[in-house]
Amino acid sequence: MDPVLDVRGLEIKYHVREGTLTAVRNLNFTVGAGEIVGIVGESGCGKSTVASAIMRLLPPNGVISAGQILFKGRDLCRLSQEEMRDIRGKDISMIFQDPLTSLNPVFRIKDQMLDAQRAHHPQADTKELLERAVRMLERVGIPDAADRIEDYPHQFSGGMRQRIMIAIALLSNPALLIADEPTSALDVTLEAQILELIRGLRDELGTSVLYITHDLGVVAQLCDRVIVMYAGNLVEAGDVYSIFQSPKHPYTRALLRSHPSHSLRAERLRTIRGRVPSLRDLPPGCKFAPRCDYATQTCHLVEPGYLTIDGQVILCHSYHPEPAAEPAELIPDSHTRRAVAQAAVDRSFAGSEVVVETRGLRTYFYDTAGLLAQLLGRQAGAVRAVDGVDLRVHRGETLALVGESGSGKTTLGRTILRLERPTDGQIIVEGQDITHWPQSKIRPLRARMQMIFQDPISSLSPRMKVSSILLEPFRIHHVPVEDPERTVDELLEMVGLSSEQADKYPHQLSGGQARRVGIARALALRPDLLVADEPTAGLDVSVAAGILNLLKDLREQLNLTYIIITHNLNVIGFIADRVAVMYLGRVVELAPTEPLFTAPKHPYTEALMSAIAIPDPSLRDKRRRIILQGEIPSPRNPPAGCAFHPRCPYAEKRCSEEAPLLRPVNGGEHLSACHFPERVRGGAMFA
Amino acid sequence: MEFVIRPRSQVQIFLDRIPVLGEVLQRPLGALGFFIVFMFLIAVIFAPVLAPYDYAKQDIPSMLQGPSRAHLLGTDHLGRDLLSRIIYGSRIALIAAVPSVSIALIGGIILGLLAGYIGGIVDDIIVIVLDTIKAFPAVILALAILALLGPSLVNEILVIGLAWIPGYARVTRAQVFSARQNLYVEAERSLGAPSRRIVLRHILPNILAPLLILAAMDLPVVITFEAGLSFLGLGVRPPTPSWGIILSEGFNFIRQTPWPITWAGLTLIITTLGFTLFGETLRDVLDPRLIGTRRA
Repeated sequence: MDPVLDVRGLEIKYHVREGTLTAVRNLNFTVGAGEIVGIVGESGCGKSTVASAIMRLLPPNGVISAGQILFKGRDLCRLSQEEMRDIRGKDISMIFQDPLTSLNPVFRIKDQMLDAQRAHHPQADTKELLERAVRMLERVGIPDAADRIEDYPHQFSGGMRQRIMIAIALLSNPALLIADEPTSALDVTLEAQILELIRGLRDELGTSVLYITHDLGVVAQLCDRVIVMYAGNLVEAGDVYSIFQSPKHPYTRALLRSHPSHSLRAERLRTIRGRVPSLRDLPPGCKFAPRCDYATQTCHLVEPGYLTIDGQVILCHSYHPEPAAEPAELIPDSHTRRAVAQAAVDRSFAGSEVVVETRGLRTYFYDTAGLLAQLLGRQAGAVRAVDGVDLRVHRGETLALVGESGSGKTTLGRTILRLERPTDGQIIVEGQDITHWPQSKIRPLRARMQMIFQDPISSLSPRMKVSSILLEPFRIHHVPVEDPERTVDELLEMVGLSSEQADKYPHQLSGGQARRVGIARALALRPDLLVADEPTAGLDVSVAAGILNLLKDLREQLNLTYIIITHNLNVIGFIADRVAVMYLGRVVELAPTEPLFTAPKHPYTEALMSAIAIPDPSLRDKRRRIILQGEIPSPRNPPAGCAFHPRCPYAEKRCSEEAPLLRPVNGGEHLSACHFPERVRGGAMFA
Repeated sequence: MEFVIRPRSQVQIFLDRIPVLGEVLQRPLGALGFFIVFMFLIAVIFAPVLAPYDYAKQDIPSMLQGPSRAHLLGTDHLGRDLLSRIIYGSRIALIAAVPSVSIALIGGIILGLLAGYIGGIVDDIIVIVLDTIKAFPAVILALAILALLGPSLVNEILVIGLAWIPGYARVTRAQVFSARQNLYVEAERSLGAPSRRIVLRHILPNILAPLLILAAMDLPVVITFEAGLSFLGLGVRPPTPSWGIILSEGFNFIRQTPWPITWAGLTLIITTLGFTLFGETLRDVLDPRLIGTRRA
């Protein structure tokens, strides 16, 4: 059967002020009927450009300078904008990364869904179209679709909005759905729901899907075939199983190796040296040559052609079989893992000095009540971001706070540092109760407890050079610096940056570099405690791997205590000693990493574990996947009893009446807040 | 062929070596703005040399003439040379406008920073006071105060400064509100920096650009306002050649000759344009977030 989409020799150029950039060159691939094809690559490799080109929605300065895009045999490049408009939204639909901004906030869902259909069926009966819209909403899992279609976008949560986007995209029953990172902004459990939905809709409707993502785990879980892109080139393409089991291109291999995972915690991640080249100065030969371990003279000078090996296409001069010393082993034998686990436990309890302790910590954000409401004695509502947390963090330990958005993990981290005012409870830092200290007394203490912020670039003052940013901590705390230049160089070197970076402004740094500068600034005054908020969020796999290695190294060198806040379980498995799983402002499970991953004792943890996207497609049918229904309830009004009970597969009557306490299960270190911990059986890898 | 860089000319290479100004001059609008501002400053500095006549010398027989060889721009109702009066008028414009805009800018920034960063009751009080000032039309306010203090150039400057403070304070306050949401302010707090340092070193430099462009665009507005006050007899007194006085006197004789108001009006328009273009280009060039995005 003919493929739905057949891209041949596609080349895309951008005209910019200084000349012409080639964003994509000589790209060939097909998408068959009912097939899910993944395009994977790091940022700046041209994957979104390809999507825009297929929709003929390139920015005004972008042109398709060569090649064909055959959609059901018609070359989209030759169609006029009018003809193209007829295809868009009808035969080819697209869903985008950010569900919060992709829906027009001032129109009801109903109007948006009718509009989408009207474009292609101007004569159709409104009632009929409405029925169709409701059916589609039901199909993508919007409860009470007939009522909720009257709502506005802001009345839906992020996951629901992405479902609505998908529903709108599928209204016209398109032959091809292009999905550009549709789950990147969503939590793991929601991501699992959306992936399941896309797969189900494909099976049901036979829609072909072109799925663009940077996440190898998602590709492994969802796709039939994979295209790996690098710097505008297709570097490898093939069947998903063979690409993950025996990647042939050096870049694909390197990418897979730099994926963090629980099973690799013994080691350092293998990073890819250098960074993705800018389109402005691409190397003349193979674009990957400067970062490739196998590169020869030829690679640097001559552009390679496509080779076909075992059904996989690679863009390389010669195929090097994987050296035997590097098995793509995902799960080390239990022997090694136990040793690692033991080392972690030893490390965390060897010096059992407690650095930070919280007792019954609560942070509520109160609404501002109107004057009238105050006079009437009405209480303002409150968001219970942190709702009674008891934690102890020992010196040299890495504690991870994990949970989905809205679980209160970031607020907890910020409250511990007194960046947020605690509502109740105590914060004890090195034996001193700092809960009610005034900011002036906290300030000197800040030198010893530092934070790494989520958004690396915007956390650096935009009008300061890197060198002054790094000297800020010294100036603030009036620490004399004898040789500022050397201090800056030393700090940069510590985080693996060269001294040239000292003269740059934040916007001139890449995400990974900015993150490193943020870490260097946090470490300038040699703190004891570092709170890292999503240290790898928004970074490409290979860059994130470098940051994780760095954090690991610094921990050893400087005997740091970390609190790492993240929703990424792969990161936690790789770096944390102990994990606190948070749900609606409370810790529901607290355990050393190893038992938490292999034998979780809380149903929420179990569901999180089963939602981890593991870059190994062979596991996707074997793993028992628990797809949680619904989303996190609002922290304004948490459910009675166990807050998790409405989503819990094991819940009983007791769960909705009595809130379970965090208590030890089998042995002293593993704590779980569940009435029935024995019912939970799933581990991270198998079930 | 991967990426073709267009060659740069000799002039461009020369201008590359001059910091800031070289950048401004490489943009056509920036260069135009700079040229106008430059001419304005030349007129201010070299007025005695450039002016062909004494600005106050009357010559009744040759009054209300159009442009001629003897009087390039013509003469006014007292036969005074218009070119000389416009050239000297630039001095009054500068003397009245720059100090009053500076007062407004500095006063507005201080109040705006206090209101925006401290917030709460301080914010409420400052906003109420500013709104009260703003509620008066500027001319009425100026009339009231000048009637009280008596007309003089210094009083005029103070009054204009006061009348313009609320605008700057409001912009500053709004900018502070948005700037303090930034993660780098949060990062600075987590480093233990005191508020004063955060405000002065991290917030102020990042909000200064729109205020400076506002000031550059206010200069000509203030020049016009000063002209209005002079017209009402509350600013500089005749025969001092303020552009406003030229305009208002010319207005009385518009049926006889259009030239005085044409020239004075054109001068005001061109000066406004020059300061605005120069200010805007300067803002773009000085914003480090745009460095490196212009050239590879």
